[in-house]
Amino acid sequence: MSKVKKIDVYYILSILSVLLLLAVWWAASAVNESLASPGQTVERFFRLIENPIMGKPVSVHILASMRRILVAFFAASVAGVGLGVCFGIFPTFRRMFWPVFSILRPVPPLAWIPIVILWFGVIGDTSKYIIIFIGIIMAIVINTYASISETDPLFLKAAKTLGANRWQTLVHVTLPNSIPAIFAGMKTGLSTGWMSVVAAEMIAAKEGIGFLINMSMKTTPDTALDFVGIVLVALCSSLVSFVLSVIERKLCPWLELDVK
Amino acid sequence: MYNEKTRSVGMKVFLNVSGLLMFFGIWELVVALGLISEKKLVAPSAIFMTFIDKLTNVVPDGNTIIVHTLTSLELVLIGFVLSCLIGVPLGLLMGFFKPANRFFTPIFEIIRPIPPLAWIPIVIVVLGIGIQAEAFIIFVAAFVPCVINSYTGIQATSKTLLDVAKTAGASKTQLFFKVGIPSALPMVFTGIKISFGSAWATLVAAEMIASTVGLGFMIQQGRNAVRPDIVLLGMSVIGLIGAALTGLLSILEKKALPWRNLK
Amino acid sequence: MAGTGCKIKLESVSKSFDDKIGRTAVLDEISLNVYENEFLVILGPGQCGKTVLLNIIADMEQADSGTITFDPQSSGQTGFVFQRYALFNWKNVLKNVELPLKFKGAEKEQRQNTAMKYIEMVGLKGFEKAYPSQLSGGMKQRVGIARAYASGNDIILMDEPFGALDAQTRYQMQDELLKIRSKEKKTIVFVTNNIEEAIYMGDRILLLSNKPSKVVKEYVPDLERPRKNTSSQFMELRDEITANMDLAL
Repeated sequence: MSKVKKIDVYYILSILSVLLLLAVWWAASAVNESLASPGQTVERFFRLIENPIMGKPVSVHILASMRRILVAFFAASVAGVGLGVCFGIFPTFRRMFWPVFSILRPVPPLAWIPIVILWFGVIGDTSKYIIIFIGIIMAIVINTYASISETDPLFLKAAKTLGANRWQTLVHVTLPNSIPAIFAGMKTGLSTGWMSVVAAEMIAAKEGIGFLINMSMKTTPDTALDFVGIVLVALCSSLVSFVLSVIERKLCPWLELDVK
Repeated sequence: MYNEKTRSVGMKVFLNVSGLLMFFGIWELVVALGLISEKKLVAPSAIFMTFIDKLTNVVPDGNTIIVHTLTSLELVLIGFVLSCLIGVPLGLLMGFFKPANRFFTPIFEIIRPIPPLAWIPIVIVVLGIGIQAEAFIIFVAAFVPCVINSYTGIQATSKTLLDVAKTAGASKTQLFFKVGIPSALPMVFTGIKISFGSAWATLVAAEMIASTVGLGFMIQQGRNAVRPDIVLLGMSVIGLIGAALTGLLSILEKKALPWRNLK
Repeated sequence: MAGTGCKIKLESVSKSFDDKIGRTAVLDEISLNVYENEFLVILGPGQCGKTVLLNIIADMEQADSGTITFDPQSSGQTGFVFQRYALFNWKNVLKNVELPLKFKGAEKEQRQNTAMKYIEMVGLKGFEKAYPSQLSGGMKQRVGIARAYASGNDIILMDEPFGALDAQTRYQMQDELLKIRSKEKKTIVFVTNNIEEAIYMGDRILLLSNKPSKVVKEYVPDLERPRKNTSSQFMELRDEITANMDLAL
């Protein structure tokens, strides 16, 4: 019981640390006048609701970013798992295309932005979808492939003695065994994905949270608007990650039980 | 199951090379046949010509590729090294000492989901446009993986090892330095490698958004001038340097953790 | 065992592996018969290549030379019980046991009925919705046995199935397996390195030597079941096998 009490004492530290973070922010804004304080940020958020930017209320900007990440995430998950599986189970495919994938891999997703814009233009969402897609897919492909190729040989042997063909082994053994690793890849992909959303919207968009952040740099700096953008991105990305973990838990009930 | 033991070495090499040949072959061909406008894509050979040209030519982005590369490298190293110096010890402390964990975790969890690029406007206001602002953004980007991996690594320290050391009379500090840190090292290195990748990626974007020099700036100018050759050259150099430095880190890792690669 | 049909016939089966030191011979001209519905124990020291022998019978590995012939009545397919259980963590007990039937394309209802029958037979009724990670080692191996039975194959290979269990559970599982076998006859090839287990379980015991393994001797324990490991005949046989078992590494 004494242990429980001790933990409670530590929680005071947690509260203290958050207060300290706010205090530092507030102090910094007091020293540097162009830096918005926490209060000004809240105020700016409400002003944003009353005075839309580019004639679009803040909800439109949030939804634009959410739509971009979700569409790209869905596409990248399907394509990434598919590609990872192909690398994992078709030796010929792996031999031919892994080198190609390997030379594209070190190019950071954000470095694709200029060429993608050259190819697909600034207008419309195609460029943005592609940039975000590239940001998300890499981690998913790599994780899927790695976990499929590292499947415990015992599982494969068991599948064989139970009479499974290649396809059945994939569906009932290799893939379910890789689900946790695939989800880990999706989470990594999502954080790169949000980075790509912000970058793409800062560089080429007329709406979205990244666009709001970029607007804060124009003419007179509006750091309150940037803080609003930062908070919105953090909230949205936390929300998406949270939903993803809920899905993971629903999809993998056995993972919760690993006690023994 | 899907082993390829029966395949000959020659066949393996052939397949490996054929994929790359196909990739570059189709690329060259598509351009040579004029299927894609030169305003959108240039051939690999043309990229190489641009590289030779950019060694001395400052058009259209104001600097030679050497200056861009060195600027980018300098920036990334400052941000990356700083983040390792601060992030690794912080993660280790957070993972080993409960008060440190309780104190820093909330701050860290608040900062973690923020894409580093979102800090740019604020950092510019505080530090102005220039090397400090960019180094700071890169620092933030590289910081998070350093902390997470060091934290996870030291938390996974075997309880048995800790108990053995405790019964041998080790103090909490000794446990931290003699047991916790060595057993966390593999994860720390993983974190450092991820950090570098993150720093390098962020650098490119930071240079595109707020800079007047660097590889990121160069490819952004290439787009503005509709020069796909410059964009693709920049991407290639960025990819090559990224791969080379990651490779260097892997070699360092092998040297530092000799017990890891014995199977 | 004369009079009953021969299920599997191995003739001069040899196998070697390449490793860093060079080529190591593992099986050296092994010839043996497995008869219908017998409980054959293959007994051998530590790393003698017993598992390789089972893998070859299960068509998981290829012999370098020699022939393996199955009784034409038999499908040539074998059920397999692994030392490390090899249950699929992501499937509950029922799903694990019905998997071989699913692979054969059986209807859902038939699958479930058969699986439930074997789950009951191994004494796990009520646990069909549990995941492997919720089960103890002994229970996991019961699932493993049920799954091998559910595959419908008349030959079941068991690779040190109780090797990972603690001594108490091990005794329990030995009795359990004998009980299961009395309910449904199967031809069982049971690999172990434990002499007492071999005598306790086996209708017939083949003693293998160390690498490269040969069949050293055959024993047919003439002991009444349930066998008692404290009976004098049991202990005599144990001493005899111990004397012949090649313990050198």
